[in-house]
Amino acid sequence: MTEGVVASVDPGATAPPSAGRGRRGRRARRLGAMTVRLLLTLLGLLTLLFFLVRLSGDPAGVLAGPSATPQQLEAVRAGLGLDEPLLAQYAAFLGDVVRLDFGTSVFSGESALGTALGALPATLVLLVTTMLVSVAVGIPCGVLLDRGGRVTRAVVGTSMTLAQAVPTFVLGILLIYLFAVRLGWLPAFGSGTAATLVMPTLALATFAIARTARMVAAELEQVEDQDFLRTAAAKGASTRRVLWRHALPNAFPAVAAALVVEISYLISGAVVVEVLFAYDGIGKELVDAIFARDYPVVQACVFVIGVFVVVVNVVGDGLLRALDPRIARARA
Amino acid sequence: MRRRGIDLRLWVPLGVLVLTIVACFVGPMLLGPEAGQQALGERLAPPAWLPGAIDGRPLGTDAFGRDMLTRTLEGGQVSLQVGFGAATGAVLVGMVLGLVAGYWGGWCDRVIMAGADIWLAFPFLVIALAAVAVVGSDIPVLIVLLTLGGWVLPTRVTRTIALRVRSEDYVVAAAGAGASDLYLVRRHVLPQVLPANLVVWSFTVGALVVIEGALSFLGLGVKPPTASWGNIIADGTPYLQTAWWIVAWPALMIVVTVICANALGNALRGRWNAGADVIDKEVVP
Repeated sequence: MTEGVVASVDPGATAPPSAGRGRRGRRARRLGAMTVRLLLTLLGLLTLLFFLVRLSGDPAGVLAGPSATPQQLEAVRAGLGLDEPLLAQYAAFLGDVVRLDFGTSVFSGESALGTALGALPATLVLLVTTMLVSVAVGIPCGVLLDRGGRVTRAVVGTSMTLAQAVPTFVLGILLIYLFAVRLGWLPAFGSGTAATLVMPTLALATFAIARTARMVAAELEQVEDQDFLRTAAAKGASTRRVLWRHALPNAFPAVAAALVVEISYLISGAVVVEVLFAYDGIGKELVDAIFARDYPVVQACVFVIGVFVVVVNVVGDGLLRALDPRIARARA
Repeated sequence: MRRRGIDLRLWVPLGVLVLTIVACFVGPMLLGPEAGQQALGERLAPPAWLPGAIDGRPLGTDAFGRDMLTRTLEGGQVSLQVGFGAATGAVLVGMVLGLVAGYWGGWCDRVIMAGADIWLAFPFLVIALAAVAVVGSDIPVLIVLLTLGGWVLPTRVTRTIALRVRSEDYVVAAAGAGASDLYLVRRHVLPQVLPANLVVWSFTVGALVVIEGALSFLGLGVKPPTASWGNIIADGTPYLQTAWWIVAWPALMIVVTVICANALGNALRGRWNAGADVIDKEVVP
């Protein structure tokens, strides 16, 4: 897992680090290269979207929607500059992206970027609670998976296997059936209150919990008979102290790295969960816009999600290196 | 593990998968076309063991009175075609790219691996949603799309193994004795790459069946009335309170398929040691 993050960063690493430059400079250069690379990818993604919309038949028809009158079609065509050559359109599109101008929503008439950004905070809340839960539950589960008795290990292991095999949307429906339909404890859908956050978080976190647990168990197994643990035990530290103070911290970098790498999986999951629970985040906004054929909003949502992923990757990579110097050393 | 009798950990999941495939593709023919038709008089009938069940509708009916057994099996045709097809495509693409990157190295390697890293960093479902929205969602489109969703893992595994095999003494010796690249790849690299990729293929099937499910659950998979496990579940969600069986059967099928695909992967990995460590490192279980 760590390898994923480390590998995902560094075109500069293959070149020999120039002599005389400090670690600071190298780090800045590496982060810069990584940012540029990811932003270029983002641009590529938007470009792909641009050409797909243009090439799949009449874009004005797509953009204006199936119920548009011929006059409306003409207006859209002129408004978008669709009578110009494709490359000129593409240049204009790139200019708009750089100026963060994604046009206005076909339906609400509001700024597409504003619509996408407005939906982002709710998704961030969901992602943060999911990460907290997956760590808070995953680490103890991992300890049980490694240190528990035979029965505990079997039970936890089986639940983790199940947790990884049940798709998020199936799990979400199961939760709705159980807690909303049968027990009536929680609202089945909506957003804004704490109660509406519980089931989406559970649905999204389950897979991450299982991954965290497996990772923690694997790390614990790896350090099991290392000298420093024996030394700690010989000094008179309790079993519990040896586990929590000495053994477990070894797993933290891997867990943290997984959280960064998995941000893209988590966002994919969040899209499904938000639609299922009618939770007003950017994922639901995206799917709604797709069904409404509101392409400016679709492009803005993809852009915002992409930028968010880039930021998490770049910042996360920096944090990981601060957290675990071994990563930086391994690549140097 | 395999000394005595048959290895259940391998043959049980394999058997269940084969059975599922046969049932999905042969079953609807045996049940006849009539069962899949709408019958508004038979809406929302429960499974056979509950009061109010209708004869010949063992798993109940959906909101249009269609037989759930037939619908679930028909839905499986799409989900399995897309899942297995795309996993196969992904592994083939991944093996070619991985061999190029790992065996020839150089700038090919750098470009391919950079592409893989970048591709992984972006949320695939978001890309897939946007693409499906624009180009539509026939089965071939979905297969191509999900091939794009799964190519990174086999590429990485193949590359790592190819890189390792290439520097083994016996390969270096063979190359020194004048063996051609093609010979070396065919004779020494492929035999180690293939089993590892079969393991990866198995895991990928599970992952892609889930993604296909998610896409069609969101309404962006195959178009109704064509069934797929994901869109049956989506159709059944409003009836959760009164007719849980609409959601239950396709959901169960997805879970069983994924568990079996993962179990098969694990069993194969235990069986052939070639590349097991590489896979362990790449697939966080």
